Amino acid sequence: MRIIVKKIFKNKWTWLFLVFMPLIAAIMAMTLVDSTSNDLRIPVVVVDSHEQPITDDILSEIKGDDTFYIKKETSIPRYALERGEVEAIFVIPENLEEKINSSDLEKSILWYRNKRSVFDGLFKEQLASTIMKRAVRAEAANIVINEQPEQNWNETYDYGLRYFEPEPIFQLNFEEIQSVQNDAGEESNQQYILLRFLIWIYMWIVLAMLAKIVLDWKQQAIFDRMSVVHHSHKLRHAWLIMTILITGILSLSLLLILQHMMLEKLIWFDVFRDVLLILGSAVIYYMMTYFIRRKETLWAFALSYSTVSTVVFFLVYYQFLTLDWWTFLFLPSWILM
Amino acid sequence: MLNLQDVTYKKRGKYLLSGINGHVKLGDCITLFGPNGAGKSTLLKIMAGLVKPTKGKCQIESSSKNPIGYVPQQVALFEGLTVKDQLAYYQKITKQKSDTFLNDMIQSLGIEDILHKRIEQLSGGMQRKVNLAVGMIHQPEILLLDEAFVGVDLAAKYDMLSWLNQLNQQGTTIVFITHDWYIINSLKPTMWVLDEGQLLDQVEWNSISYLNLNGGSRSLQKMFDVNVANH
Repeated sequence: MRIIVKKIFKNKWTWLFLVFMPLIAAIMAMTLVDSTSNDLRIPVVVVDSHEQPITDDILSEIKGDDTFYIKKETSIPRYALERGEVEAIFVIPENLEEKINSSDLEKSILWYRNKRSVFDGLFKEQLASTIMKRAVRAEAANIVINEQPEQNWNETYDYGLRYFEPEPIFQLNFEEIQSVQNDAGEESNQQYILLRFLIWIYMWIVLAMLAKIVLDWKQQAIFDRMSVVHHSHKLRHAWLIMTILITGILSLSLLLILQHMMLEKLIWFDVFRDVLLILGSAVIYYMMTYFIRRKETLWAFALSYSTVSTVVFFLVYYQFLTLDWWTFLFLPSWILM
Repeated sequence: MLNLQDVTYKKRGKYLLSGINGHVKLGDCITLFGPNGAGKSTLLKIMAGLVKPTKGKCQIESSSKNPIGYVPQQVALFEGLTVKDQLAYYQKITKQKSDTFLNDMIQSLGIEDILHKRIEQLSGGMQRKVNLAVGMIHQPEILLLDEAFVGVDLAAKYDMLSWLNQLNQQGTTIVFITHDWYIINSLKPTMWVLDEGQLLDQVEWNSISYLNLNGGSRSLQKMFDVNVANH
């Protein structure tokens, strides 16, 4: 065992990098996922070249909704729209408050968007809803003041909110929300399967490097020498135990981390199946070390098998192929069962 | 001690060895001599039990559990390990308990100063010395050396040959492959002359003038011409 550990850590930086690479990748991925999820808000720009207080009032009302990332500008940033940095630009007209109070709102707000804009309509509806709420109350106050001039307009405007509580114009009903959640769940499941496949590919590379050690010893005639002095395969067996330990611990850790990240609860069946697949890969390499003599042949075998397995996996994954007995000859296909 | 009866070895339809007969006695010193492709390494591997002959028999008579010591053509040592670790590892797997023999060998081969160095830090000659030491660590009755002196400088060669001579005089059987007349003249072996897979003749090192090379290849004749020219 000591011999194998020393041989592995002869190029310790390579091995440390190889072992810690998935952890580094996972940490980076988690950081990116976190920052991406923070940025999932819809970026819009509201332009008010006259810097009117009512614009701030309306925006502070909308900002209570975390769906939007609202940036206020005094001029139109067309470059941001062209680059796709924002979904849309809304330009507030001069004298907005007067327009609201007089219900003169037709075509008052300019809405810039590009072809790729998808969700900016949500903000349009929210903005329209907020402005219309004020407009309706103002209109109600105007009617009351016309009928009863002794009444105070502002009091009537505030009072109007009790009777005019317009529902937001844009609203998802229950079924639509449900449908979105199902899609998200399906997408998460697809990602989970793909990441399990990536773990297999990673472990396949680690195993190829471990198998290379055996071929080195074979090429150096170390096994010949040992066969003469000792009629056993102690070194090969020690290598196999070491390989099982390394691959078992590494793959188990990766799969548990993956399930922790992707799933709400552990599915031990998946974990055991994937660990068995990886150990099956180790057995394939172990058998190959008896037949292969040259490292180049090992690399050719490792590359060919992983390439064909990848092709078969994705053909089944995208339903161009159905699972059949021969597809199970390629280990990653077992993930799709 | 070691009997070869009509040993034939065929690989990919080609005969590498045909009908080799021979007998190695305890305390013999034998060199397998011949040009490249004559079948020397294959015959040595058959003697070591690493390769099974296609036809014929190779029998070893010994009471020892590990009677054979094999030193391959390559430096068959673990990279990343010190010389001391290499020796300790092979001592452990061969269950060699005699430290006296080990210390004697280390002294005779002059490797006491490099025990704590890793294999890749050693010169080619030093690596060959350690390669030889590992092959002999369990005090084998018969030592098989496959071009064990390639790339060794004269000083290292002197240490190795002195040690081998000493072992041979103490009764260890040595079978080796070499193309080097200096080594042949130092160890004074019986020469088994091989050519194109056949054993042409067995002669003492100082009787090669009586050797019948009729039927031998041009390469083989040149190998003997070199020795004549040196003298």
